[in-house]
Amino acid sequence: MMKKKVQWFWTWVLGSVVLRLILLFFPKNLNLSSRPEVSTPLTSLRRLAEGYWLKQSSLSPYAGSMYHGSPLLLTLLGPLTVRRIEGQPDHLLCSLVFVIADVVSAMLICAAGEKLKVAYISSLQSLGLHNLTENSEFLPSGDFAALVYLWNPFTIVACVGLSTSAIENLMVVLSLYGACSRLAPLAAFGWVMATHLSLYPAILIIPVILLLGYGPDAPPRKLFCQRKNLEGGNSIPSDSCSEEEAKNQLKVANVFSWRPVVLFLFWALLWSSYVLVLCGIYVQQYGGLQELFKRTYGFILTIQDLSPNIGVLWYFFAEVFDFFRNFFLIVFHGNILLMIAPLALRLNHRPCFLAFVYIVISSMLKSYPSVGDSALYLGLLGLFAYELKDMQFSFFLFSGYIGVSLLSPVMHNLWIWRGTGNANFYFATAIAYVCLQIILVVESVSAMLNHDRKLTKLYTAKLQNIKS
Amino acid sequence: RTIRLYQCHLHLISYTKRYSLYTMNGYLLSFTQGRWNYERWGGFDSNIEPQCKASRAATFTWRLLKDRLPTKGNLLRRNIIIQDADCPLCGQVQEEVQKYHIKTMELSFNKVDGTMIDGVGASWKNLSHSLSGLFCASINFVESSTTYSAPELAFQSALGSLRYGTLPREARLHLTMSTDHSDGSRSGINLEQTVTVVLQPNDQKAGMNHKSTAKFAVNDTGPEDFRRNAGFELSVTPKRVHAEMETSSSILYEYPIKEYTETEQFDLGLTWKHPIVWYSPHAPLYASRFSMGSGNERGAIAISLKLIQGLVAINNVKERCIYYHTLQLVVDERPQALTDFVERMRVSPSEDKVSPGVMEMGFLHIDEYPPDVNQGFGIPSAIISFPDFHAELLLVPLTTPDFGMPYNVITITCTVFALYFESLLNVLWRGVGEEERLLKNKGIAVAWQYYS
Repeated sequence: MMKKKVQWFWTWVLGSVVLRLILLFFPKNLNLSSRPEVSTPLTSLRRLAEGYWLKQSSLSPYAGSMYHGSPLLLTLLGPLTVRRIEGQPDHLLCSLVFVIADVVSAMLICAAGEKLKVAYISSLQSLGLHNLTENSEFLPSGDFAALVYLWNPFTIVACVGLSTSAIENLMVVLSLYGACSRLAPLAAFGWVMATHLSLYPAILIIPVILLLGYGPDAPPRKLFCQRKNLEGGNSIPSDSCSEEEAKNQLKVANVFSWRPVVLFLFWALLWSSYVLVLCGIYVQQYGGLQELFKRTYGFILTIQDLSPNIGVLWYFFAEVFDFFRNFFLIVFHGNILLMIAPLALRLNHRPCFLAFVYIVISSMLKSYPSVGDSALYLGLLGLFAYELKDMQFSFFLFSGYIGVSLLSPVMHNLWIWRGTGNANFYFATAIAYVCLQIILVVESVSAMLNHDRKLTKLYTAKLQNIKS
Repeated sequence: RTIRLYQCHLHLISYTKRYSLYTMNGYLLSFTQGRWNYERWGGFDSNIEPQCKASRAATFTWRLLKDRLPTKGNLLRRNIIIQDADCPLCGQVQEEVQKYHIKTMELSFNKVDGTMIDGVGASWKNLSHSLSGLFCASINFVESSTTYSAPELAFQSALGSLRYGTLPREARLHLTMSTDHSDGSRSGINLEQTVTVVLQPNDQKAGMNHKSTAKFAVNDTGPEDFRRNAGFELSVTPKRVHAEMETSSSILYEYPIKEYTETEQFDLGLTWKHPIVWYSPHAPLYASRFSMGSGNERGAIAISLKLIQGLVAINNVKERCIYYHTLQLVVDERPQALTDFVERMRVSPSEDKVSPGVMEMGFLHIDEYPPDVNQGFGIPSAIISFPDFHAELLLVPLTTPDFGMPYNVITITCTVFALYFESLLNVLWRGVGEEERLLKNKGIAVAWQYYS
């Protein structure tokens, strides 16, 4: 049984790799690297190649308005962009790097899913809800999430389209895996690199700290408190070994562990200093760290590039009047920060799901979104397939994502190539896409809260049975 | 040989491999006052010194600067008998050049010190504003640093004090005056406004001489000898001939008008002694620039250069999504390595509204589009400094937003974000109230069990 299951999983993994390699060797037909849905000013490999060319020409890689990414990424991927193999498509080595990043991300999602499942089963067993754990034995959520990530068309398009979002997704998944495994140095490295690459994963520090402190996702913490009071109040006759074990589990589940959090903060500070020193060495002859922050994070926060993408902010700031530009910049960036506290207060017992919600919100509201961001949160959605099985509008969301994926290139073609449409066609598709993401995040949070309420009801009913 | 430069995504850079083939040995003022169409009618003869294509205003200004106008002071200085030496305007002082025109000079242009960058900046600003006011046009747009450039490789002689700005296409104000006549016919007057820039040549250099005009001063023996030895034949013998050997090499022929009467009028004819054959030579370099690709997404700018003997090419590109690393060089229809042909390269990457010669294009804010947006955006001609060739203009179409609905975009986007915020907060808050209600029910159940 176990051997057959592993073989089934690796067959699908190998199939996805073969599919990517097939698509990589036929780039003339697809030409995905110039799609506005795939290449943004931050994730375009062609801009990275331009920055590397400027660097080789003794100019600042941030001269002009081309490159706005990480200098470390430029150091790693830049030499691969100029290495051109005869008779092969351009940037082949970079494409292979992105394929490897996708596979490693999937493996980390699978491992994190296994840890989440083990912790969840033990939590349910400690509450005495054995019938639920029997059903989830046959649902390998980690494998399922990994395959969802690998076979997602968005992931494949982002990989084949030479988008550096595969590297960013790898760093985000690395931080989540490190936090689930209570490996503070690894979680700190992933969080620091993800924040360094694209700034928005900075808000993931809250779920990472909750994961390190409280442990992986669990039912609401009130149920454990009620059980503890019940155990202390009524002395039910049972064997001492079972009672002692239950007390240890309650103690572990209820107390916030500060040691991993302090270790994580220490390692985060260490990795941040190391990254800043490396960047400072790299850009010291081109204006220093201040110029680097202005070109990278300043470019993200001020939305200077008005090229079209699948978000709505490019058209909004192309049309808004200059007098109100700063006001709307504050409003839209504040929308990400406003929902951090309510979500953290309500979902602090489920840190991994909280991270998923944060990733969806930042993908929706970031300055230059792409399909690589959608690939990440749709892969993480597979981790919660059991808890979210009662989510409403699932089929509507599925059809909506397919519709937007097909309509977006059509509208872009009508506007840019044929000239029969205008920018509003493409903007309408972007509006529909944002609405779909809103429905996804609202319904997933609602379904997760309903799942917790169901657990509460079951446990309350169980308590009633014990008392009577 | 044919060298063809390609580059994907619309960019051209400057590089140089220059030979010094042409030197200026002298100049000659044209008798046709700049009206001669050399390209169509010819007239460039190697036997004669290279001719200066000077217009009437240029000739006047040049004579003004060199103090060659026939003012009364200059006539007296040449021993010409005049009755009144005072200025005809004020009648107080002797008529001189400086008193007429020096203030006009100050109002129009500032003297530029070639060693000061700020000096050339101030002069450029003053010039662009003066021309903008004179023509009632948008010429002052070239004042901003986003529209001019300083191509140092193409104009190496003016290093540090050069400004090069062009407006590829500008809607000009066409002034037409019309008056109605009593007989019902209508006649119009078209005003044609031109600007002539006069440059003072540095004639103090060692290599400069005036061979053609120096011939007139070889034999200074009398009127008859001048009449025969000059390059042309005079039909009437001048009364006196003045040759200024000390200050310059000009010759002045004097014909007193009072000696002629109604029956015997003054009639002077000039006849060239030698026939002159004029032809239009072929240009040593042919340059053509065109855009490639289709649609508004992908494209390239190509420059085709033929009959190369060394070239400097630069283009003042106004483009955003340009990639320098995609530059290709094709020599005789075969791709070549860039380092084999490019001797020097000067790259000024484009940056929005900051770098010289660069402006954001393609995806702009609605305030940044040119007035006629659907016409496209003109890229100024590339400078090919062979002896000052220019490629033709390019017209690149723009990808336009919908200018009619900024409010629709703002309201729809804000509504979507309000929907997101409200619904997510509603989901989070609704759960809290329901859970409290559940705990209350649990309390009632406990109380009920207590009573039973």
